[in-house]
Amino acid sequence: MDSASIQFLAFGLAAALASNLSRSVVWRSLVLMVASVAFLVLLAQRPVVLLPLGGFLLLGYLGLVMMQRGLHRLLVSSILAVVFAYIWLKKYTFLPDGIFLHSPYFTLGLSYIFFRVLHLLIDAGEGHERRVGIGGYLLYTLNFTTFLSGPIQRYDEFARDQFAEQPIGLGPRMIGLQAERIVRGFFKVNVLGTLFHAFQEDALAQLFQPLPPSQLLSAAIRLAVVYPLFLYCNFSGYIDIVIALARLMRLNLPENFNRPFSAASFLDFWNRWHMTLSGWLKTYVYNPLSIALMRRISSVGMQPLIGVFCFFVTFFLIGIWHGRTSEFVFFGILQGSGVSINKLWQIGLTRAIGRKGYQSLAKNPLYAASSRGLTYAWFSFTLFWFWADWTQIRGVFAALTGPQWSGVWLTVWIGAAVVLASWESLRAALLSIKTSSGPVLTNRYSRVIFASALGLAAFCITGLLNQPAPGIVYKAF
Amino acid sequence: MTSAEPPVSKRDWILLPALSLLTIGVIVCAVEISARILFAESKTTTLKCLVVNDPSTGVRAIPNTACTQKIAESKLVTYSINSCGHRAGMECGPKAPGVYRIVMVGSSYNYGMWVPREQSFAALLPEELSRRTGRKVELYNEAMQWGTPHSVDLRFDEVLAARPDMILWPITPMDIGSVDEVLPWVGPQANDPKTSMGVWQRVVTALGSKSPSQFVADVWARIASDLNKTRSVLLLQHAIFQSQSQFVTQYLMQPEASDYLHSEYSPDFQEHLKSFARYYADVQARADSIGATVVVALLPERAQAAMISMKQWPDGFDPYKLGSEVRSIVTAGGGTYVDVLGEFRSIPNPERNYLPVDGHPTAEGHAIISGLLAQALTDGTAPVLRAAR
Repeated sequence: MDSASIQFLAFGLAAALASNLSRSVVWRSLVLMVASVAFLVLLAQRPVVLLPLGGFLLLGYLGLVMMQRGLHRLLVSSILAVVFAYIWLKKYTFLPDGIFLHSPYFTLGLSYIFFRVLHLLIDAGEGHERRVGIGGYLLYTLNFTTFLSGPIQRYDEFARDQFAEQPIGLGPRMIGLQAERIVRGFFKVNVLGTLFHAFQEDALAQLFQPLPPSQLLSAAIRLAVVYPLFLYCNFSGYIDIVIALARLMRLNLPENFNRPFSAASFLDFWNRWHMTLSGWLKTYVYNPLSIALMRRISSVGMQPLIGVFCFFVTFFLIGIWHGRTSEFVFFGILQGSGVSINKLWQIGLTRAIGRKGYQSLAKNPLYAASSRGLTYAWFSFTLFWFWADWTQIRGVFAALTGPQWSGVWLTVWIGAAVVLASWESLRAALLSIKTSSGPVLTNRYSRVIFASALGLAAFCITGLLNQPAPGIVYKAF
Repeated sequence: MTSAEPPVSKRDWILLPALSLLTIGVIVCAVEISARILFAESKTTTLKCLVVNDPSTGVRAIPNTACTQKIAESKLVTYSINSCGHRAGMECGPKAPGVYRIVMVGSSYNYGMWVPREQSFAALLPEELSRRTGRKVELYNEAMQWGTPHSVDLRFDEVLAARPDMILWPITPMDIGSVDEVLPWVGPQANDPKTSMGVWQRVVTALGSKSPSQFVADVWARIASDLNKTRSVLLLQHAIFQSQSQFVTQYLMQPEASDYLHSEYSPDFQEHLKSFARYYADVQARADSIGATVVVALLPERAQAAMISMKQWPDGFDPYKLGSEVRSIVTAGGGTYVDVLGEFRSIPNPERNYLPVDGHPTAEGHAIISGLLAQALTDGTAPVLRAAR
């Protein structure tokens, strides 16, 4: 069962239907547990491959029990054990190959379980009052709606909805909104995502073909521009679907995206892209690290630089969490560098022209558009280390000369600035068309028209994208 | 909370679904109408100029006729047939003194399907060869729509009658796939009992003879098949198949059509190759009897050309394999095989020179094929043309 496939949708809708047969906590929890286990078994196909994942969950739960029993002094060692188990099961390449398990096992979802387990462990170790039993622990960590790609929900938010005696409401209007969101998500993943992926593959193939420089430049620009769009459609579309499915099961999941390409800086971008990941790292890495460093370094002048350093560490970790090879280490360095340089720029500019001057500059449409374009260009540049290995990266960069690549990134920067500024203006103009009940574009009639059109397009194009291309029609004249 | 959610009015319970249906209806109609305008087809077809029911010859053209046809992706093209039943661009008859005559056989690629004759490689190649060799080379085209290897063999006396110096047989993977076929399937047959039944009668018959799941699968297949015939689907496919990677991915989903691209052939395809070897051996022997050279080249289909150009393909596939197989058959029979497949490595996006859905080469594709064949025929592979330089 692929994520965001028709089968996944059918599975999720069936689970939502079953869950709504009774409002009792026990029933809804039972349905969620059965659905989550069934989902896991369908993905894994052979239960035996789930054993390492089970071991990881057990390790996390033992740590949690120890913390809940007041053994807080074991917090650091418990965290280290979980982190090591994660690195070991994911087979990070800096560890010697000999220590890994060599029979095949299941690691899908482990990255997200890792965050949930650490969250429970750290909170319990720091004396959080909540008690988490084995049932709640398994429901929270294995919840099929957040299992594969998040969003990373906090336990308290999950428990508030899942274990509420009076579950959150679900009327026709809410069902309609979720249906619309599912359609939107399905379209993003299966139509836009698939097409953007194909464009990227085409551009990549063209870079290695004997084309004139102008066409190679065009291919390089397309390669740079398209991948962030693919990633956004693929990831946010999937998140749309799971948030809607969870809502139909009377669970509110946190939002994970907030129009990230509208971000006016790289720092702002990470407040809008994979928000639950950056939020988690802010809580459990950035804040404790900056507090600890500020306690040790009392110089007021150094405090902004401590912030810069903590940003670097936090976003470097985001990079290496995404993958186990050296490409992801570099990806992390680029992410960390991006936010750090962005922060240094803000600090420097504030010092040079004052806070009000900086705020005024940031509101300048030209400056904002330029920042948005630069953010897009930098993100797309860093993503080369996300989708490619070193061999491919070397090949891609060797396809053009240094000045040509400079031209590519300049074009991406300016192009993104213009296109995104135009998009923002168009959006604002459309939303300004209002009736007494609000913007015309967001009223229920417009939404039904939009969702119907999108649903039809998704149905037809997904069908076409998944059917074999015809050979020459030779039997019929 | 449910209690906090304002109720949906009665009006909206009717209006919203109606709006949804109306939206879908308007889009479906608008797209189909647009597609029919953008991808119009002619009412006339080449069928008027063809005899398609004579198993002794295979498909053949009616002498001294002219037909026009435009398929969705092509321009309106006229197919003029000479007095011997060939789209040769010249009359049949003995060659002029000093002329080197090539007679081309084969199927729709060679016939110049969907392109004006003067833009087909049948027309371009002799000019190119004459330029390269410095002597007058003419190409008399006896290729035909549905010119499968079996029907080439059936009509080979016509080829011998033209007294060729060389018989050129550019072959395509689809020719191998349809190697034994002689006659095409042309529309629903009047004597087919199913086509004379009403819809209800067919449903009852099907329900009586199939399991419910099979019945549902068949109904869905029928719906999908009918949808695939709409011009809207053609428009979408035409757009989607502009993408090289997407087209290749979807083409390889089709096991039967992509059989020739597999590194291990199915038993059926192996039989097709054996049949081709038999027809080829017969053609070669008859060509030998008049001292004509037989030259064969495998022309790639759209997906094959794209894969070669991309220089990468999934495990279990090999776009060069069929070329090697045909080469073995031809050289073992004493003929000459010229390779053009390898040249597609250096052609960027060669799939753009084919009609994306139909799959036949465009005029640009014909020009490329002409250039590649001319190069292959004059670089020493075919001794006669080299000597004529």
